Amino acid sequence: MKISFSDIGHSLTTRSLAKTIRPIIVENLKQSADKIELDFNGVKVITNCFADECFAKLLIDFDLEFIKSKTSFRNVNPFIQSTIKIAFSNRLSQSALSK
Amino acid sequence: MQNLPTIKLSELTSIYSTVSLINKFIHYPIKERITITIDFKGEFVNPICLGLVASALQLLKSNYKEVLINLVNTDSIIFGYAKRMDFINYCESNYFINTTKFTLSNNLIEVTSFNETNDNNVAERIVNLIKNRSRGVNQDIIELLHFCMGEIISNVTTHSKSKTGGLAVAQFYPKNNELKILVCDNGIGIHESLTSNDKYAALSESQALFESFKKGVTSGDGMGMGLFYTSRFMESNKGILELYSSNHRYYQRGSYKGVYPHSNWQGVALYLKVNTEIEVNPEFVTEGYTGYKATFDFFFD
Repeated sequence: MKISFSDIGHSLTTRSLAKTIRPIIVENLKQSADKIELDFNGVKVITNCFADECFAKLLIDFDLEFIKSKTSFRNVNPFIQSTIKIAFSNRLSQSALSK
Repeated sequence: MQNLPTIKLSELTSIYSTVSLINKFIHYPIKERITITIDFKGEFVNPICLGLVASALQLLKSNYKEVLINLVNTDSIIFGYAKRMDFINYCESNYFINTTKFTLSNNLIEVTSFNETNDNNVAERIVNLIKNRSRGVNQDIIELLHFCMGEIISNVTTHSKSKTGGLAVAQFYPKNNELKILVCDNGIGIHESLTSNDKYAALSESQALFESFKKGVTSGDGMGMGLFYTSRFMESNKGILELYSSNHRYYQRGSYKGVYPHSNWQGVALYLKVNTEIEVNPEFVTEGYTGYKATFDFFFD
């Protein structure tokens, strides 16, 4: 499965928007054996809250190794790449602190 | 029917004084029915103040059974501007509103309500005010502004619990190379939101306001990065950030930051003055995000 984020918008900034996308990713991770391709071609900006809600919160349902094996982020500019990394890092730190 | 004092729009010149004036209206002795008069006399009104009054009118209408709004001096320049800014729609008075669509200046975003269905679009519209301009805008700040606006607007739809949603207004001033933005709500405010997290339950109102700008400070649902990044952005940009919530005001000008007692604002009203020509260091704003590179590189082909 492939999600082309530019079909949703060239800037993906709010948590409420991300809330509409994560269930699609979760469903796919649960149902499909194939990797899900997350394509950011044409997307200029995402925020930390979007990255947290859409991707890092996948850690609520799945562990990092599983997410890593089943997802592929494509065409990600350096700014978006950093934002996604920060979101995962923060979510993992928060989980570690709450244990 | 309780008559409230007249709001003279031309006298509202700053967010500081407008919040003080609105406080007198919002906390007027409770009556079921109230009448407000809005005086449009004059030639100039601050769009940020117009946004605050619109937000206050929304709150009054949600708190009282009947709010009658009288509009006076409707042949003025301010009234014409207020129509273009969609402010009159927030008055919902018996006054006949000409539904002619005005061509909005590409320098402003009219008074715009938002909720979780259109918040992403509102953030984008604000940023588009300064995007692709050949003069007066350092294009390097676009991504950071977009980043911060998304976080701020998300804070409203995620944390505010505002019955009336959020409201935004913005204007770009090409002569001064300034972008002024207001994002506000009539929700629970920062203190109530933050102290719902046990970790911050003991914070006073002023402490909560100050802490909310620190990295990772959150009521629980988010990651606590939005206000932190926005503060760093304004520090790097030498801009102004004012935030009013409950009985306090956070004021930041460049690297100077302080919290002061102020007239009550129900919810949060956040104002930014961005210097569009001043370059901003993204590494400073995001606190050296490059340090994360190695850790999660496996995600990216």
